[in-house]
Amino acid sequence: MILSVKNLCKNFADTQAVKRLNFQLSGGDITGFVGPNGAGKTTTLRMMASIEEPSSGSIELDGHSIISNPELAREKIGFVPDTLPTQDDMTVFEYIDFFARAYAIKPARRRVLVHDLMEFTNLLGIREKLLSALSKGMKQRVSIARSLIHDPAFILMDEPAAGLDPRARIELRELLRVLSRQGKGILISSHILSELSEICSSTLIIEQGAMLKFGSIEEITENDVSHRRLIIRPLGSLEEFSNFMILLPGVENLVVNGKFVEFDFAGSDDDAFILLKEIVSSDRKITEFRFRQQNLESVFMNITKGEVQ
Amino acid sequence: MTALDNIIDRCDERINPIIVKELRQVVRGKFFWGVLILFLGFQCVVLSLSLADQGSRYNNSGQETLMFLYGVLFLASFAVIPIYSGFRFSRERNEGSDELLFITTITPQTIIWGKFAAAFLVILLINSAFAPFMAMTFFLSGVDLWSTFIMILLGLVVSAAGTMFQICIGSLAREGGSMVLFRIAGLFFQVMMFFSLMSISSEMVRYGLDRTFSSGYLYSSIATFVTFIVSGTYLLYHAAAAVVAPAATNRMLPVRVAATILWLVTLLMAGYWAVVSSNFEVFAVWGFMASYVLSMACLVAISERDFVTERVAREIPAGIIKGRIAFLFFSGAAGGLAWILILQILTFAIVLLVTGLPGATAYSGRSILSDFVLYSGSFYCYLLGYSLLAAFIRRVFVADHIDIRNTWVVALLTCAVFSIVPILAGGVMGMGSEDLLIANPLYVSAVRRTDSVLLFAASLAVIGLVINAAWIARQFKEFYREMDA
Repeated sequence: MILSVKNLCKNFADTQAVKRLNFQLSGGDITGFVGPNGAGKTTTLRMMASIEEPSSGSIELDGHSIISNPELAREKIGFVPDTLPTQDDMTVFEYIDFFARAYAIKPARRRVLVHDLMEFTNLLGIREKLLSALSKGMKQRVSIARSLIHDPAFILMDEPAAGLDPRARIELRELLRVLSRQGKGILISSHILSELSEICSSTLIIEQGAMLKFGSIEEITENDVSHRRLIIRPLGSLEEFSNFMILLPGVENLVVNGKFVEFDFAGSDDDAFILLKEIVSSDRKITEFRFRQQNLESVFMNITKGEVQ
Repeated sequence: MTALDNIIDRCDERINPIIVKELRQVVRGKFFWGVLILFLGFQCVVLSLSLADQGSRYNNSGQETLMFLYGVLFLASFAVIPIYSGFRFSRERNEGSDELLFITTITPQTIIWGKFAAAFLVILLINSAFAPFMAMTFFLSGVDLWSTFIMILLGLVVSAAGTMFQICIGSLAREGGSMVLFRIAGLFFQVMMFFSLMSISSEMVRYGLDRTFSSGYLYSSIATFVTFIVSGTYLLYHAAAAVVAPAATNRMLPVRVAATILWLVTLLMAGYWAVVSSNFEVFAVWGFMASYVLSMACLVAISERDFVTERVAREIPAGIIKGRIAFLFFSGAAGGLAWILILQILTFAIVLLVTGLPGATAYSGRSILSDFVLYSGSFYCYLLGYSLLAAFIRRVFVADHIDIRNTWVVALLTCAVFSIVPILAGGVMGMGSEDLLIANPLYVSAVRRTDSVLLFAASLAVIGLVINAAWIARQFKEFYREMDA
């Protein structure tokens, strides 16, 4: 099953919250949705969940529009909003049972499903607890359990890890992995980029409502070659080596870090090879020559400006 | 699985999930038990004191006891529970927790019906708990059991309407400022209605049913009253569901259908009473009410979206006649204004027709028709004119800052400015003419030159129509293009 977003736009009065977004999700994929605050992530997720209507563009599930047929979205998409359940005077069981009823699941199946889901999300032990008595992490689990009640093919999660302690985050990560193995496509927005890069197979980066990057983590980090950091370990005087390097083309922001010389290198792999050849031909000895591994965090910092609409 | 389990499951499947949720929450909450125990305590104390007072059996103090008990019951049924239900709903709306329901199979109608039914079940429960105490007053003197029974039944009907009204107010109360405003208005209305209905109930107990309602027409009067309340509740139900429904849906369709049904039902009731009482003034009263309500609906119509959404387009029926009728009833500003115009024309035509009947041409020495045309006609023209002016101002000058759904606020502000500025300017320039009131729709009765009022209001409406002609035409064309597609 494929969920595709084409030229998606959303305007609020004079603000263009989302600008021509294009991407698609497949079952089993976990896609990170990254962007600064106010970038349009929540609006996009809400449109995909059929809560908001786009100003233009389309959202299709296997070729069928969910804008004109929102019932499709309700059947196949689960949504975890950025707010936690607020019905404080309901127990965990009552809350999940209520949503099972809301999805018109037959009583006999509902009883089994609610039990199984609570077991899966590790909520059985607190089934009779009031929502008001739960921690943030537990409430988030309840929210995820609710989004899974109708066995959706895609799950959209808006900042599910916000405010969770490390243990709850690890548990959430494991839960997402299990859901992904079950073939569910997951789109998860988060600010915790290190975690996203651990669990996501692809990433979508947006800023000011517009898409900056979309692809697998490897593609994104490898493609961002404009600001790669080169690390060299020379033998001999570090000062003399630094003075030599700083004069070479494409070398910027050079620093000495312990036994290493590090600098930003604005050039391609071929340019890096020419640089290496130049060092060796000048009779300088080096024992290490490598690019620092790009991660999602550095890519994100490089390509976004942190501006909101 | 036993047969009994099957039956239970089948019933369970049919129960509105909102009712289950609401009742679970209400029963768990301290509020419900607090109200029940407190008010039952009141009943016990008052009844015990009355029964202990031997002298009370020889005068009409039974009526006083009954009225006190009924007052307590009615306070719980008509005021406390409905206001509490509305408050809870407005809080949920404010938190946005109802949004998640729209990605389930639940419809806005199911939500409103569930909220209403749960609150009404609580009211029934409280009534059941209080009824034995009220029946005990029969042992005191001066109490007519039949009147008491009818009074409780009518109390339940108006409590249902009050509950729906508060839920409707709760559905409106979405954001900070407006939430407070709507809640205060709703509270004020409910309290005002409480005292009015209490005085009618007191009349019923004191003088009996026959004297409270028109003698000889007891059951017709009650049936008319109940029909009116039920139809109004039905309209409020759809209005609340429309407010709750996502903006892109065809949410005005059920409201306009319900309003048209209410218009027809009240017309039939007016016809019945005109024939039974041989008094055609009933039609004039109906005409005034219908026309005023329809005029107010202009504010709602211009606050609707002015383009056809995909979800609305999907529902447009095939066929020229069906499509044209759909334009009037489907969500859309121009369609709403056209629907109001047609119902206004029909209302005026009916009043015009009945005033032409023998014996119906005059009342209190004045022509029904001229008064109707003056008051209803000018009020409609004022409202239409200000609404259209507001639509123009919003669209041309402040579209980036004010959403179309708030056009009604611009209309009220425009009306306020047009009403106040001439008076202030007149004050500054030392002029004190009553003509300065002419732009105020509420001062039509205070201005003696009625022809100029009508002329001004009609001019305002015509100007509004002219400056919005392109906007209205675009909506017509867009709808028919979607219909053809």
